[in-house]
Amino acid sequence: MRRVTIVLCTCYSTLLGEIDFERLRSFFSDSPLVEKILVSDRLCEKNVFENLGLDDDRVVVAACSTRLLEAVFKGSGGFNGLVEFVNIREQCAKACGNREEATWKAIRLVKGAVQKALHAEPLSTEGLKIVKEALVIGGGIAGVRCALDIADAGYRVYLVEKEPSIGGVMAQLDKTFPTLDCSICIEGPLLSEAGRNRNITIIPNAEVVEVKGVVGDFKVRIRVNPTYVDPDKCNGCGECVNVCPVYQPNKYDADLKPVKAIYCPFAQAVPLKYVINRDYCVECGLCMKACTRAAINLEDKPKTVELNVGAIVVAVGSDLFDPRLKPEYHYGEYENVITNMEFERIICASGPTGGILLKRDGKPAKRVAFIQCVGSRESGAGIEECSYYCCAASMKEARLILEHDREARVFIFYNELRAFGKGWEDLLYRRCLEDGVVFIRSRPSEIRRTGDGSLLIVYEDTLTGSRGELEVDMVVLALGFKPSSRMIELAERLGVTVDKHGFIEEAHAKMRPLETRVRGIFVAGTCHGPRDIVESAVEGSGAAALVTSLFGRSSLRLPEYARVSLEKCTGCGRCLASCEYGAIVREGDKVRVLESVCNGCGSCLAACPQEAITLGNWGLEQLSPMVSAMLED
Amino acid sequence: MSWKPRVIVFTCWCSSSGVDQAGFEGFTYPPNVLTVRVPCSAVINPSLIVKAFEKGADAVLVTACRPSELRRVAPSRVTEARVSLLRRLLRTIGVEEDRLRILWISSNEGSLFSREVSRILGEVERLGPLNIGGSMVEQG
Amino acid sequence: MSRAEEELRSIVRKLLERKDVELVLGYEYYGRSVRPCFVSKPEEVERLVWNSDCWFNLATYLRSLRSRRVGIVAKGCDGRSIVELVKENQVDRGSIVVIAVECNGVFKPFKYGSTHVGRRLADYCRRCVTRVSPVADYLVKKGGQAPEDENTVAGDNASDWLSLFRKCLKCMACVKACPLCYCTECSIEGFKPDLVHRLRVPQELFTFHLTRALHMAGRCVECGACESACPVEIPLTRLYHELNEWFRENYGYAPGMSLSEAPPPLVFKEGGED
Repeated sequence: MRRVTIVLCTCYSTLLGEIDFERLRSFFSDSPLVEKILVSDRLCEKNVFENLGLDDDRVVVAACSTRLLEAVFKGSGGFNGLVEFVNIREQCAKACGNREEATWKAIRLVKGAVQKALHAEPLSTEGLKIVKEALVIGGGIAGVRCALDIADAGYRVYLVEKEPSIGGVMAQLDKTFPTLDCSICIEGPLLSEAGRNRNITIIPNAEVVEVKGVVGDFKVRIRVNPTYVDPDKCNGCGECVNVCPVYQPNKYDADLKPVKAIYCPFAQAVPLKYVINRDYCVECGLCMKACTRAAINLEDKPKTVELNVGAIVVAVGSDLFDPRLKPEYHYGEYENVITNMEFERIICASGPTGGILLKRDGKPAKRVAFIQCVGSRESGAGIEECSYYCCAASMKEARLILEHDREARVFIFYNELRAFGKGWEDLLYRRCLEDGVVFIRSRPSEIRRTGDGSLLIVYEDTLTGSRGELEVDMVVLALGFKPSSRMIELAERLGVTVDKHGFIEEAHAKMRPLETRVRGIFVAGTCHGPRDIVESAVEGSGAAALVTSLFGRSSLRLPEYARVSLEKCTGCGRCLASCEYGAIVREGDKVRVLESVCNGCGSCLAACPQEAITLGNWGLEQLSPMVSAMLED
Repeated sequence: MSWKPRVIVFTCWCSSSGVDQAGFEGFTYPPNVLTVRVPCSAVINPSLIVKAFEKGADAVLVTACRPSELRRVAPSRVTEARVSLLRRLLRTIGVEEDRLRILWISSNEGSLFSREVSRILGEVERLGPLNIGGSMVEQG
Repeated sequence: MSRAEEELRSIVRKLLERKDVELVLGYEYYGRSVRPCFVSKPEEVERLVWNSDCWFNLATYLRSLRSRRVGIVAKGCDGRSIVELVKENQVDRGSIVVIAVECNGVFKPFKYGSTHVGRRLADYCRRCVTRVSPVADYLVKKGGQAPEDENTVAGDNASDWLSLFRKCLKCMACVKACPLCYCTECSIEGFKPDLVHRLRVPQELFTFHLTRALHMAGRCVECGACESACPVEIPLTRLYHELNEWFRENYGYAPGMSLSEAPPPLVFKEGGED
């Protein structure tokens, strides 16, 4: 028969005056349910409880605040679920008017706890295995920073990138704000460091197709798309490019500058390996003849890589808003209406025009206007939120124009100018004003084309209320972020949730900003909301810190999660509607709890009509006898 | 001794700290107010509350985290709905629904807990003993 | 034999002859009253009846016939319970053929020691919202004759639920009659004695009935099978109706009305009550 040991703590004898311990002891000493009663005066001190030798017994500890004491117990090792805590200090001795009442209440509380301990089932104290290798999805600045920081802590990192090279958006930018330092010059060294680092395995041209398992032990399947060049043989000499007869637009240069069908996206690419775009390749075989290392294989097939990792960081970034969805700006129709990403490539010395701001007809653009908030801060085709980076980006770009050409005229159509970052006010806004950039508070209603091919911006100045028209040579649209459908699919595969815009949702916006609802899957960069480079890098490092702190543990125990008895489950699905975390899914004609997602609130227990779900010792089986005993006379 | 209402208080992890704080701050309440700590208010099966009434509770309180503090994911909103449903059921069968309450108590709201408990105790005292268990067993 | 019955029999005969179904759940005479019957041969269809004494909810049998193709004679409320069973993953809509019968209400069954003398339209039928099943493969119109009260004694207007519960014998008839009570280990039948124990009568009747009510809330289709099956005539449907009202008021949801309507997530929007 199950029996319980009661351990009473007098809290350094301070409770002796408030509770009659003798009566408490004598009340339970005759009970057939009670094995023995021990009294301690300092249970919270190190090893006191351990030395009582109650390892596998059912124990009721009546002492101070459960919150304090439980922490001590959990810290001292396993927590087998057979120890029941009663707070006879704050919720009894301190809360009662006199000793008589406090003693009476203590007896009730202990009676309840005895019942709960009797009905408790031992919990597994086994730790989960932690595979101390990480997967970082996305090789933009957030992902690269993250991979480097994890690798530097001594753990292996797999860095999966969908493009042929890591680098992300930052590699495409000309200069970074607010200091106007060259973007690839500061990112390039990081990229090559990632390429050299022995702990980092870069898997380019790849995407995650399946994720299974729980924190500490994820099984990930990755598809590596064919590049038709064996990366192990290619030494990046570039002989193939010289002989290739076909050109294609280069995505890296915003499709503005052609490259050969066999190409490397940019000079600082990591890994520096050539790839073939089969959409353009004519299979002439010239590159095969030119390649001295026989690296080219036109029969290349997709490959599958299986990884076993303990943690995953999602840093896949975000797409930009599609300006075609705002027909009033005629993007794609008027050739001198361009996006800010195209602008970055045009103004870049390595870009299509060698860094000279030219219109499509090859003449210099002298009057340039920026339109802010395209696809952000609106309820239409874009998203309601501020896109975070574009005020600074446009001011930076304005300064770049004026650095190249003192005679140019620059106009910025803004809604609210948000220069909140470090140095933005001084290095961007003030300098722009000093350099004569004209700020117009307006969201232009239309762009028209005049007879001579220049552009006419129709707007209402919302400061003066006056209507205006402005003739310019070029219009740059500052695009907001818009998560791609591809990322939403990835989120589904990972089991993480996305918000209404499609950005990945954090476990808690403030307190757990880099965690997702799945334990062991972290997030960094623009895939969970608009950000700039600095913040993306900060988050990369932050996510790396979370990963390494996970890997630093000797063992890992998931918090108690709900478990379904498949024998009893009828598959009625009433638990599904009760789970706020979406941690329960249908599987066959039963349900399954996603253990990494479950937060252990127990809502499903109360929803299940036949107690087919258990959570630690919090079922009716334990609580019902407990409550009954407390109310018994 | 005159009759005093017997109250079961189901406290979630966080609001249990609030109840602790009430004790710390020296607020005393009758010993008949008995607390049961659960990890989250959502684990409280409405049947358990019913059972508490049958076993002699004159009132049952559920203290939980304010849903607004939990952002989007708030299991205590589920508890709120369950309590509301059960209150409707109690009213239907002729038991005063105010014998069942949900209170939003944060971990630092000991004084709020004290105030609310006193107020509710007063109300329940006016309502008188419930004695479900007794009335279900007595014949005639 | 009414025209509706004739129509019903011809539908069932056709289904069985074409082997569309293995058997059909229907009603037959049993002495002066009516009981459920299972018809599996075309020549047996003459047994089938359809009138205002057919208070059983035949959907109760569907779950145990899950692996077979069955036809079922369904009143409006029976159809709603089929909808719930499909929504709760217990019955495959594709494997059942619903023969909907238009229903004008059923009589309260006669019980020994009943306060009701004579035939009387069941109280739950007076609250009926669906006279025709929301799911139907065949429809038999004009369900029998409109039942007429032969008894003018007021219905069960007892409001003292506690004394009503006290009459309960824990016989589990309500559970067995209910199409939606299909748990393998019913929590009020006392598989785990911690909440309710079946043998402890008259204890725990409060927990017994309130727990059942909570388990039916937002699911009960108010077919009245439990109430009609109850030997001591506890008007259970009225209790469950109140809880359904709660769902209607808070979520605009009623169970069993549509296959595509999922039960609402059980949450209050921020700043709900209090």
